Amino acid sequence: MAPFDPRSLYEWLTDRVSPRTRRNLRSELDSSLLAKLGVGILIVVLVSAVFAPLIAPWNPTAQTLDDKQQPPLGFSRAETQVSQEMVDGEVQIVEETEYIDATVAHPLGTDALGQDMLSRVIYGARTSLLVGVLGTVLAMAIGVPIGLISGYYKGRVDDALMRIADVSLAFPSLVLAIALVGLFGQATVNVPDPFVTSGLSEFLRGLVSLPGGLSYPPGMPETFALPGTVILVVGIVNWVWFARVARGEALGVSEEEYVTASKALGGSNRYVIRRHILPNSVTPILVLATIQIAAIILLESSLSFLGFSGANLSWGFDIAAGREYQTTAWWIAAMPGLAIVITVIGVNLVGDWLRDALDPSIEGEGGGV
Amino acid sequence: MTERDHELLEVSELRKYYATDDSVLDRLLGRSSRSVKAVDGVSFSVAEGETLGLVGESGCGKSTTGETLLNLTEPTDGAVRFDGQRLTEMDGASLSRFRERAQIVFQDPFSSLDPRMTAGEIIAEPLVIHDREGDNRERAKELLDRVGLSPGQIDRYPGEFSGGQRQRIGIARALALDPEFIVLDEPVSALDVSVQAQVLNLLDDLQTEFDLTYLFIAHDLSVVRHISDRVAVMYLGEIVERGPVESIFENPQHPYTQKLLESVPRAETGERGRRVDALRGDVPSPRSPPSGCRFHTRCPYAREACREESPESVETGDEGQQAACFRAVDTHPYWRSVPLDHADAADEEPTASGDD
Amino acid sequence: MEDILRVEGLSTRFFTSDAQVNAVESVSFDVRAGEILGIVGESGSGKSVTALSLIDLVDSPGEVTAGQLWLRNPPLAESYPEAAHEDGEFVDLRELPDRTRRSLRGPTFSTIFQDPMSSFNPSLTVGEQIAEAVEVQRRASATPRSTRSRTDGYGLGSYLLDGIVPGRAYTDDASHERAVELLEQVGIPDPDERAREYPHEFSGGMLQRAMIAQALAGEPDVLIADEPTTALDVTIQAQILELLREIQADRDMSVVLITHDLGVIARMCDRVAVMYAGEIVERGTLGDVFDDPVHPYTQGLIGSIPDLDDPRPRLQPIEGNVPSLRADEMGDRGYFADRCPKAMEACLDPQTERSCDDPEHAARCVLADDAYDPATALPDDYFEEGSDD
Repeated sequence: MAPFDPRSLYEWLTDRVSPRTRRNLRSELDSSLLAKLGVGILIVVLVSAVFAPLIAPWNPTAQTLDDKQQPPLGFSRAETQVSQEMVDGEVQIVEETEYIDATVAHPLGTDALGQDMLSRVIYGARTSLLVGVLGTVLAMAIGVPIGLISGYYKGRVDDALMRIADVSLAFPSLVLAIALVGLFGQATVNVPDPFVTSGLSEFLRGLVSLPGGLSYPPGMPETFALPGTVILVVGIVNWVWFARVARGEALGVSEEEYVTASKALGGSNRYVIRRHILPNSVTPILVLATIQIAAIILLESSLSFLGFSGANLSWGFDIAAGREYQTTAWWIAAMPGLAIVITVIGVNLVGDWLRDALDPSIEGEGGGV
Repeated sequence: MTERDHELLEVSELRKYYATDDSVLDRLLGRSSRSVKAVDGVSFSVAEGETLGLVGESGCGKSTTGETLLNLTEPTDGAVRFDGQRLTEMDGASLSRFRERAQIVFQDPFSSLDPRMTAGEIIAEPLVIHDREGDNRERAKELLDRVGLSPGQIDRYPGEFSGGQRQRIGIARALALDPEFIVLDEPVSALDVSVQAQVLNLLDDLQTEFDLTYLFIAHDLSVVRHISDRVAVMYLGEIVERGPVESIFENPQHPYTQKLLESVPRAETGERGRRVDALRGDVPSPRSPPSGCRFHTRCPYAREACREESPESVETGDEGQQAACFRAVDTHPYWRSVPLDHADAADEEPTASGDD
Repeated sequence: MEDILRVEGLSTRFFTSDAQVNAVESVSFDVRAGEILGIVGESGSGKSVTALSLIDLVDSPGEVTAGQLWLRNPPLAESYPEAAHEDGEFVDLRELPDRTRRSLRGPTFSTIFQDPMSSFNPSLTVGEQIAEAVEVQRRASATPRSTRSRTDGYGLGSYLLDGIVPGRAYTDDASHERAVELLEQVGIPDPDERAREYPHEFSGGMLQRAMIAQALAGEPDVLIADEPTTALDVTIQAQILELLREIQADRDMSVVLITHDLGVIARMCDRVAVMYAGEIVERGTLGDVFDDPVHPYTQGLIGSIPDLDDPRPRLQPIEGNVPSLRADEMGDRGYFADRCPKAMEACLDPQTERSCDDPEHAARCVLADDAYDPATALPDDYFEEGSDD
């Protein structure tokens, strides 16, 4: 693997963002509390996802049946045990109620198999974000070029491409996704976790000592299951939205005189699309992308919930698993559910921030000498 | 035509029809659609170094003519020759060469510049497209300076400039490749009077400095008179009169040109109370243009002959002046046909009528 | 001729989140009975805002901040002594209650705008909309100064009822007949038929005529025409200008004609006010302003127009650009000084209006009563530094 320098990535990114855009992004972030909140949420989710083996207190797949269904901090659970006893020659039914209190070791409780909920929620962020981001990227990669071509060339090309899009839109996305999963199978790719295989997580966790003499329990899953089919499926299901938005933008932008001007200068169609149509369509596409990330996180959860995902460390999967304990251990489903809600809100807030900051019309008109 | 300098651009019988009401269903069923005849058989030529003014009211097809002759929209019919070579016969390389030699400046200084590019990037765009060697940024600075902007403004975005300054950027972009011919499509009509005068002076200077040939499209007759050497007047997709600028403005032959000139309010005290016999009615829709002479529905001299037959352009009046009107031919049957109902300007015995 | 409207020291400002814009700055002029007064200026000069200020139609964040708008109306002066001028003839419009002021729109002030297409409701016929204007005036004159009676029976409830019960319209047959009559007066052929058509079936010129008909419904004393021909072609413009002049002469109305086109001003107006950066820089009769301009801006404006009958080789434009009018960028200096070819040290202070030899003729310029003094002229690059950002 080539040596990776984060500074060069930063420079590459800022080269692509004009100083004006950077200024707008900053001032919009400064002035909007909601934007700050959204960015904050996303950073927490992102850090959890990337550094999960370093942050998660327990191995999320380690089952300790003795500690199963522990409540989260601040709650307790009553477990009634019914037994039959012989008292004076008669069989009596004895109910014994046992109160199980929360422990600091499992702040969000444990599930039915005694797996630590906090660790599972942290690891679940990986699946959700990876599927959300990669699925959106795939949907964009398919949808945006189709939409731009459709809107730029108009006519027959447009008719043909948009009819295909209409047909795809006619299917409910979940049904289509299930059909596609059925078609492709539940392929997952096991990606080795670099933090674990390099021994880094083990080393770092050994350094930390927790109050009360506790130490981080060792051992983290060495691989991470990436639900490949799901990513493929959400990409195929969601490209239409990108195609439609990109087409609408391209239709509008291609009527602008600077596009005619560029053609008059001899710019080829490919050049015009790349240089003028795409940059001027990018804001609504980016905003749509954030909405789509949120939607795809939800779709992934639905697929996991229904058991079509193949990933066993995912918010949706845990909600499904927690469903049967709804009455006795609500947190098994509620904790990952809360994680989904907060993440989706965060992504949407970031989308609003981008939409407000990237609108080129907010820069004042003329007047300067 | 009399002895002229080298003709840089020759347009003959140019036509551009737009299909309308063309839904998918229509296309599938193979229905023929009604077309808008935006440009209908327009011929003219522009000699090297001169300015031809193309003037007309909105919807007369003057801008479509400009875009069609640069091949920005495909002509329906007709031929455009640039420097002797037919545009439709050009291959990739010579079309690219043509795009370097012929440029266009647009009317709207707001929509003609990409809001996401800096002034420098906009001006250097033609250099990038045509892979010119050398320092694009330096060249952009040079051009900014030439059109009267400060080279220090090179990294600003169009939103930070005023309308007049944006139009200067558009002109700088058109100049970047050292073109010979520029189509100026209403370049000053979106600007305020004082800024308009600055830009007109700039265009004047640039023409002298770089030996440019202009096709100046405008609806403002005073501006056309100021900048043009020759003028062509368009009405409903056709050229009704053309000729040297003095002949058109001092001795107009076509009734439309006459009425157009009469309508323009002069900015002088004598204008107050000047009796203007305004042209009546509206421009008919180009979707269903009138039969015969297209002007006959509004023409004060219209007779039966005008409704039946479409007039050819004939030499009239001064040298090089041509008008498409029967009245230019003394022997035409027009003179023996009956005036139409609305035609009130009986020219042999002028009356004071004109009110409704 | 007697004054019908006297504007004194009118200022209108816009307060946006990041700037205060002085759109109209201490403007004074008068409108006389039966005259056409022209207000000419470039975009952003404040001419349209001035017109909107007269009829109290400045939208938020704009606000009329100073000045008096004296309207000659003795009955009103009697009813509202607190708003009346000491001579008992004039009332200050700004001191009148909003409702009374609104009731003046129609019978006293009527307005026509630049874009007739967006001034009509696309879903009602043109006849219906003009008839409505007639009806509003009819009801207003039946019970003067009551807004309620004018809009009576025109709320949401009756709107819904109209949809169900046929023939329950706000307008009646008499108003419709009057509307057709007005359409005929503005030169629309087949007015009976055209009244039943929708705005999109009209051409730009015809719709502008219809808007004039609508404005005439209230038989106004003052017609404010804001760029009435700017969107029109030159032959149609000639028709509309002709129509406006006929109507003005027939009814002896006053017209305030706002335009950027000096040619239109020359054809139509008796007196002219030239606006620049929110101020009236020069005013006078047509002859004063066109043949004997004092202010260098007026001179520059006239020098910028290519003359149709005498094409001079070179235009004499005003250098520079129209200022932004933001209070923080404008400061206190004389507004035109940075573009003025004859700027002197005295021009750095804000200028007040000075009258020239002729009592009608006034200019907001040192040159009105002092000669140009090259000794105190500002150097060419005086305004250059610091102009960036």
